[in-house]
Amino acid sequence: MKKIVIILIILFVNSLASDLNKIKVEIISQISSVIMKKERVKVFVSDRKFLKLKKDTKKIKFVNTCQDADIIVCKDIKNLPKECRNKIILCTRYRSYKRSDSAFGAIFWQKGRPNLIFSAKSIKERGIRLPNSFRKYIDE
Amino acid sequence: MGVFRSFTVLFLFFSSMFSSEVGNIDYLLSQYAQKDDLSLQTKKESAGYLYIFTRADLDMMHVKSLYELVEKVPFIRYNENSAGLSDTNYSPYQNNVFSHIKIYINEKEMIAPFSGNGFQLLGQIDMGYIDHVEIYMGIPSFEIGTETSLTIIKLYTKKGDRENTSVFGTSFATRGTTDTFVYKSESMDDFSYLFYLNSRNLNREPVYNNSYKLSKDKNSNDLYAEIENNNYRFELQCVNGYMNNFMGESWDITPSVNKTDFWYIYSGLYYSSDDRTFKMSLNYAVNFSKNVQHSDGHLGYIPISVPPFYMIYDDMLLKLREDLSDIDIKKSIESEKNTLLIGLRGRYKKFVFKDRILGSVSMPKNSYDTEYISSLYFDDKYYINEKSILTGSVKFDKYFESGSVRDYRAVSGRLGYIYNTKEIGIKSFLFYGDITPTPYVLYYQNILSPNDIKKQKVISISSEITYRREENIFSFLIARNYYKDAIYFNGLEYKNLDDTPIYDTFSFRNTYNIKQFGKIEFNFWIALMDLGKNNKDRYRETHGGYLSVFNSVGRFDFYNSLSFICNHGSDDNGYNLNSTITYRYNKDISFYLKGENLLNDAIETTYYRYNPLTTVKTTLDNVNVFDRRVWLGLEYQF
Repeated sequence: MKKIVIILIILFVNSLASDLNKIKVEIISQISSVIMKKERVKVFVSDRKFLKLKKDTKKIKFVNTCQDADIIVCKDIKNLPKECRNKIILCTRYRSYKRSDSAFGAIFWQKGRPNLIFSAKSIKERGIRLPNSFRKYIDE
Repeated sequence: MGVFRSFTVLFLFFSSMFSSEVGNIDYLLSQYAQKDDLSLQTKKESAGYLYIFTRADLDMMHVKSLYELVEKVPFIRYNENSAGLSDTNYSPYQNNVFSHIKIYINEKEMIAPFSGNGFQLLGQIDMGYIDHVEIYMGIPSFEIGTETSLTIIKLYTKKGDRENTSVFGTSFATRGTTDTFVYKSESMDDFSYLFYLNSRNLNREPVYNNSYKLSKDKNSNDLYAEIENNNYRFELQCVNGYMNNFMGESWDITPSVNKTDFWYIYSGLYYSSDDRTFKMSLNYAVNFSKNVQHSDGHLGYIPISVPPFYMIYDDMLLKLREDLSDIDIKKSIESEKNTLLIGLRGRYKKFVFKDRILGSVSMPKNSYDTEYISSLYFDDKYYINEKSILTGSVKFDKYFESGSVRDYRAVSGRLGYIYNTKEIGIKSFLFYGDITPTPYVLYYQNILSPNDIKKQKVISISSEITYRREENIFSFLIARNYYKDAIYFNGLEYKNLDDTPIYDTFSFRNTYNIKQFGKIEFNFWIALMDLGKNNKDRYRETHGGYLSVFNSVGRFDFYNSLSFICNHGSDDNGYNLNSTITYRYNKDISFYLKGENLLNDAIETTYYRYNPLTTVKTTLDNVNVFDRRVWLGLEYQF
């Protein structure tokens, strides 16, 4: 019976939340495919508040450790093991991105809207070329 | 509307509808914003019929005051009273009889203890610290409101984890209006905060009665701050300013001085357990107001014991102090297929005239100056199956009045059924509620008459069906409301109406989200009123609605909205065209141009005053309810 209650709560309250989750996965998928130029990118998400349900797609496989990942989505780099800090990292907090020299970019909320930025320095160091539709998100 | 005006309307709406090459990532980010905005509100769908203005909506509208949103709510005709304050219930000489709109900022009800009307306080005050707005119609559940109301407006403040920025904004408008704000809001490791300051000088359209200028200007300074972590939230607000009170009490509408200075201070502490099943809060607010009036005619009279048994006065000084404190405890219990919410509330209101000087006479203090309210409520949801919910709630209130005013008991109950699938939603509610007289009514009745006032009663049956198909949402709402023992002022005292007015209301709404374009909203409503056999104007019909378009093209955001309201058989009709264009120069700077009542064709109100000595009735015809105003503004994020 308790399972029924849980299912009811999930259905009734989270119908929009699951749409929201899908959109976040799609955003990560878009970003991953333009950065990595791989058919399928391994992504590690440590910020549970940002993404609750990690469902693999054609372009993304969610992994359980940062060591296995091509791209890491985390709240703060300082919480990552040292061997993972050289990977491509997207922070979910603007403060963490600003504090770190090695963050590739950030997806975060600001002034009531989701924002996306990529570090121009990191893009240059890694020799990545972003398509035109992403150029406006480069943080000079 | 004439040809030119029709063309203007069409041009504003369709000039923004250019197709735009929006990259997929841009579209995904806008969808992320929209879905996240909406996911904040879904948990309270069972509380009533819900209208939402998301953060994106408020930003594109560059909303300056709450009345801009209230104008969009079905069945409500926005209005302003003879003091120039927002009052949807305004009717000549029927002051503060009943306010069917309650306003909340987060969990705090904004209410003036004496008048019982929070909308008068907030209708024209700034909203720069508000993130989104939820409007619950059809007598919302007791989880949301202490005192019964027909419409609850919940304003939710900006939160640190969605702001993470500092913003400065300033704007100028016609007639020398200025509005400047600054805020900082951020999410830290263990807590988040918002700190907001605003200064507004609102110069309204003056109205003239012969050579007398009737001003509705308002000036306010507003500080709002909050700090919260996972379990606690502390809020603080201070507002001070002054307002010019339009007609005031002047019998011939000839005020030479008519101004109110005010101070409002509030603080509140809110606690929520980790699993959100237990909540507690305590808050306190105090409001000081000083109203000074002088009329070149007369303001009123005081009965005296010697011939001619009355004394006329032309000057008035009122200093009022109002205190309000609430304590609220609620516990949610989940078991099997059921969720039961139990709540206990206590409210303390005090309203003391420090000075009430009419002419040269200092009026004695009234023994009626305090009201305590205790409330116990139960709100139950039973999950019949995965699609259906049955809800039932009951609330018991005891009003402890002071002085010679008798106490009141009030009972309210609500039964509801909710059916929800991905495509279809149905909500139906049956409600009965007692509405006690406001302290304002009890105070003056205590002076004017020995007669008792009965509480008002509302019975409501309502239902809404919603159909969702991809990005298109349609809903149809129907309701019938009975008002028994409605309170009115007959010129000598307050009384209860013998008739029972009946209101039948219908509303159709459509929201259409168009990919890579934006959103179109449409609403049409009808209200049919049977005011009872003793009313010579027994049957009335009003209809209204709006069409709004929100869209973005490149660096431009457009908002266009046409609202209309028509009272059948009268001249009380109006079309209100509002438009806002925002240009985002870069990530940090944006400029906007905002126009209100651009066609100068919105609804108008006729005011009048009656001089009992001369029996002359002075009328102010066709006073604009909405000023025609153009704003030019800038926002800078740093």
